Amino acid sequence: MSHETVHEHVEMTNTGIDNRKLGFWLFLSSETVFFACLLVGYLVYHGQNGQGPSPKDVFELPLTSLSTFVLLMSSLAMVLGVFSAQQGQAKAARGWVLATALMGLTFLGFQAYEFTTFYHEGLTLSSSLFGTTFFVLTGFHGAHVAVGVLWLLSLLFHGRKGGLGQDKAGDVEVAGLYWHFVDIVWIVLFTVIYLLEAAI
Amino acid sequence: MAKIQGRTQPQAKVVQQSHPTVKTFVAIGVVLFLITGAEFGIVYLKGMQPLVLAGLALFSAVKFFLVVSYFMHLKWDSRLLGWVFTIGTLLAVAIAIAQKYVNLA
Repeated sequence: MSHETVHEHVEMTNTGIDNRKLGFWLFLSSETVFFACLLVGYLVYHGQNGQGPSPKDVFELPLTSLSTFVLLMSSLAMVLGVFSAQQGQAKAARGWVLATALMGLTFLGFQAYEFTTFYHEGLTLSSSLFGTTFFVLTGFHGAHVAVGVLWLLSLLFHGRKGGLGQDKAGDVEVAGLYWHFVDIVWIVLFTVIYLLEAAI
Repeated sequence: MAKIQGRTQPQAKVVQQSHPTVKTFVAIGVVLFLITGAEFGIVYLKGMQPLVLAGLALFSAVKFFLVVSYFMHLKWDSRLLGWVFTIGTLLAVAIAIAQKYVNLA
C-alpha cells in the first residue's frame, strides 16, 4: 500500500483533535448503542409473527443484497469525496458527494419498494411483533440515511459555486463519518435480519 | 503560529500524517463488493449451517472493520477517537449478548 504525505490544518485543542470531530465520534458511539437497543428488540421478539407473514414469507434476499451493494458503493464514493476535498480537488469532491447522495436516494427507493411490498403482503407496523420491530429498526435506519442525503445535498448547495475544496474539507469529512456510520449499521442489520434468517 | 497556504493563522498547527491513496480506497471497495457477493452465495449452502453462520458473522465483522478503519480513517486518526468508538461498540455488543438472557415469561 503506497502512501503520500499531506498537510492538514487542525485547530489547537487540549486533545489535539478537532472538537467537532471528537464530538461527532462521541455522538456516533451513542448511536451505536441506540441501534443495538432496537436490534435487541427485534431479536427478543423474533418468531412472534402472530397472524401476519413471517420473515421467510416476505424477505427478498437478492433485492436487499442489491440495495446493500449500492449503500456500500456509496461509502466508497463518499470517502473519495472526502479525499478529493482534502486534496483541494473541489469539483471532483462535489461530483463524488453528488454520487453518494444519488446512491443514498437509490437505497431509500429500494427500502420504499420493500416496505410497500411487505404492506401489501400483510406485514404492517401493527400486524405482529415482528412487523413492529422490523419496521421500527429498518425505518430508523432509513431515516438516518434520509438525514444523510439531506446533509449531503446541503453540502452541495454550499459548494455550488466553488465546489468543495480544502476550506470545506472538514465539513465534508464530518458528513462522511455520518455516512459511513449508516453504512456500518446496515452491514450489521443486513447480516442479522436478512442473511441469518435465510441461512437458518 | 503556523503559516499555512500563505495565510498566518493563530491557534493552528501543521500536522503531518500518512494518508491512503485512491487506489487503497478502491481496493477496499472491491473487497467489500466481493464479501457481499460471498455472503449472498453462502446462505444457499445446505447442510453446513454452523459453518455458514460462522462465515456470515466473520464476513460482517470484516466489512465493519474495513469501513471503520479505512473509510472512517480510524486507522490513521488519533487513538482517542478509536477508543471512543470502541467503547460504544462494546456496549452495543454487551446489549446484544444480554438479550439472550431476556425472559419474556
